[in-house]
Amino acid sequence: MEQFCTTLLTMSLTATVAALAVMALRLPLKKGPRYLTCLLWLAVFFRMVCPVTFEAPVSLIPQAITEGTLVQQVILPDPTPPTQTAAPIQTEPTPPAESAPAPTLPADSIQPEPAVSWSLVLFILWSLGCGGMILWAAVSYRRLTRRTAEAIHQDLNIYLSDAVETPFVCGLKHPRIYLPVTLDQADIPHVLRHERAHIDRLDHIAKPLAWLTLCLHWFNPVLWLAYRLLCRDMEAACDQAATKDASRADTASYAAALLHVSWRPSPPAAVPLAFGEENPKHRIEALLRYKRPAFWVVLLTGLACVGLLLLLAADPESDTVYLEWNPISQSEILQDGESIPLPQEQTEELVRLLKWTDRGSYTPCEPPVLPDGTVTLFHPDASISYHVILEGPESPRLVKDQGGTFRSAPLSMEVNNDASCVREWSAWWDQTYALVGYQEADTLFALQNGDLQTILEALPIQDYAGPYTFQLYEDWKGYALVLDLETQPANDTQRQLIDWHLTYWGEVFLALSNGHVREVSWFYPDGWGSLTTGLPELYDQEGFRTLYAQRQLWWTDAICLNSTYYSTWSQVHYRPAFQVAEVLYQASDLGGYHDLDDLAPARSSVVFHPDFLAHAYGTNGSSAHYPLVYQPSEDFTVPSPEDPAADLLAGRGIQAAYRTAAPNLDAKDPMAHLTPSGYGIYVAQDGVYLANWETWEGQKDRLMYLLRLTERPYSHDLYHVVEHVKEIKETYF
Amino acid sequence: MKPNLSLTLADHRLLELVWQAEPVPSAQLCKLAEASLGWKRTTTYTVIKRLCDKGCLKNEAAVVTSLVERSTVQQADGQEVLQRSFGGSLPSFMAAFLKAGTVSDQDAAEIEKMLEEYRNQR
Repeated sequence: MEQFCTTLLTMSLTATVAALAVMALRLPLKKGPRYLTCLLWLAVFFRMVCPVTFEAPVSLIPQAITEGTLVQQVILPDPTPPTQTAAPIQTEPTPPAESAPAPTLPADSIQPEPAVSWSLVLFILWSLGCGGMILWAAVSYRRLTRRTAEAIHQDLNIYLSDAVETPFVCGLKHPRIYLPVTLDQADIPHVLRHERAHIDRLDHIAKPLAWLTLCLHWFNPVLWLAYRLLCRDMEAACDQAATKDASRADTASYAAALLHVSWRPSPPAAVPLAFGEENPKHRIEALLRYKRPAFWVVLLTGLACVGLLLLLAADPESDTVYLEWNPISQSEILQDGESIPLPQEQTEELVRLLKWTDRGSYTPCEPPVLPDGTVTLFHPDASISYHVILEGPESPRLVKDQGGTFRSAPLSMEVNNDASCVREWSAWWDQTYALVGYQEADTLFALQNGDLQTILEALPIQDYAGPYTFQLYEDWKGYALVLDLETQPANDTQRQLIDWHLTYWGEVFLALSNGHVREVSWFYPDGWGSLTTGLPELYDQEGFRTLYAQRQLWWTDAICLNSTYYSTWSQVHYRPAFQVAEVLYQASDLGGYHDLDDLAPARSSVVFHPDFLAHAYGTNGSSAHYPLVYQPSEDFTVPSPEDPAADLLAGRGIQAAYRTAAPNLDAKDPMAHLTPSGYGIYVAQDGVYLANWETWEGQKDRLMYLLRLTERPYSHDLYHVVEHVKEIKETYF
Repeated sequence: MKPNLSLTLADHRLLELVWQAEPVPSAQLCKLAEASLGWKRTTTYTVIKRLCDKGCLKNEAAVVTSLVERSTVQQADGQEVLQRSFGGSLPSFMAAFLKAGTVSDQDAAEIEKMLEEYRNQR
């Protein structure tokens, strides 16, 4: 709707400029053959009906008008529907965690007030006007045909009627000339010559067509004037054609005929092409004064007119950049140092591209020569920078600059003007990290020195450990917080996971209590428990932010989605979306897997994205990324019966499965030859399952562990982070 | 009923056809009208109906006959021209032709003869 109004107004505006140009050019041209001026009106017609045109180095229409920027400023944009931005990439079926956002998801609250849709109002007004005009034309045409139904056929296509006042031409396919009975015999041949000229020049089709296009632009007074002038030009051209090669006497009697036929002013109409429609005085004057110029003058003028026509019909060559077929005007391209939020789709795409490159397929290289068109992404801690070189030899490529060591890898993105979006992306990530991570840290930090119970309730302890009760003991050393957990962990692994969580949150609590509480301890129903005394520091806001972020990261939130899109640990991340609900299976009899430390997921973070699975090992930042191969539920086969996962997964209503597969980086198309690797992700009705198979002592694909994940409340995946960021920006900035 | 003799051009022409061809089946009249006047069937029927309403035609059992004589119509037409353009004055009407010099000797002789017969009858 908005697009339609914008396009229509742009066309109208362009046509207006063209019409004004033609009106100006007409004045000198009126001395010459009038069919040339008629030719010029063709440009206006073209502009009225055709929204697109070719580009030329020179054009008479200013760029601001053809690009519609003028119009954009006038038309108020429609409010965007709220659902537009929240949809993540949906590969069906969505894992239940993604499709059922947590109740407190901020995205739900970002619905704008439904405002009046201006473009709808404009459209309705326009169609009323346009329809009214067309209706009027249809009605008058009908009345005309009624009147002329009883006209008497004289000869060829000439009809005599007593119901018409002036001679005219009517009819599209077989045009008829209607003559009033009151017409003087002497005038008839002149009239016929004139009307036949109309027919020869196809005016009987052109004029209704012009009228129709005028209907589309009924709101534009300049175009109404243009129509009137076009009619005049048509009449004058026919006058000239009718008196071509005629003697002075003949021309004089033609002029007399013009006078005899009564001229009644009537509103501009599509039909008929009446002989006496235009003011005869002007026509007669013009006719009598007209001296046919020399052939070569006509030729040159004609060529000039054709040239003008093209100039008016062409759009100026624009230097707009196109990003995926959407034009970006100059003003939208970033300047150095600027940053604006990046649209979601571009984020995903870029992330995917950069992650793909950052697989370790870097090769050492010399310091790169950075040509124009290089985008540099700085690591927040300034130890690593990435240069995205889009132009130059061997481009596009990514160069990692780590403290003077340079490594280069080819980038698999198409070279277009994505430089700006790469810059935006990096800024966006910084903002995201700052806004989301810091936002939470600051929210908690605000509680420092406050009521201890408030602090405790602000921490999501029950999400990790289940319901609990707490007590605050005071002794000579200070306060101690004791948590009595009500849920007994199912097994040791789970217990240890919970212990890890509570250690972290305990430390957060201690930091917020600002030294008043010296230890946090917790006990399970079976009597066992653990404690933490935190770090002996007093935290300011910066320090607390760091504590909050770091711990979140190389934390054995295990199968939480701490994602690191850079390969080190302290940077951009988005918030966990999943946590372990239960450990269904652990191959504990294989040695080396008894301790939580050795359990691979416990020491690492796992990123689950519909397109890839990523592992970040330990705290030294190495990582591996595996593309996920999606198996739709129709193709999905339950693991074979020998597979212990089969039993565990049976009956859970698996909707989709992903198996990771490692790409062959040496091949031209790394994705073409995938080696299945050990991870499987099953999306079921009650949660997401992560399985890991390893080849153990020659046995293929032995299930090492199977975990059921569940969505953590207040957690978001990347797409919800975008919404969250927007909301924060709206609220706080 | 007294026929309404204020006739349009179309009325005149159709009456002409009827006078020439009557009594004529309406279908054939349509064909004739199409040939000489270029009318559609619906147009012809419209005019027939109108003339019937004016009392100039009769259309019974799809056969059309006229109810007025040609001379009657001519008389009415003449009266109308006289009234409209010459204030009802026949001499002025004549004067117009005489002044234009468009009366041939043959016409003049015929007119004189007609005037004499008219005087003798009175």
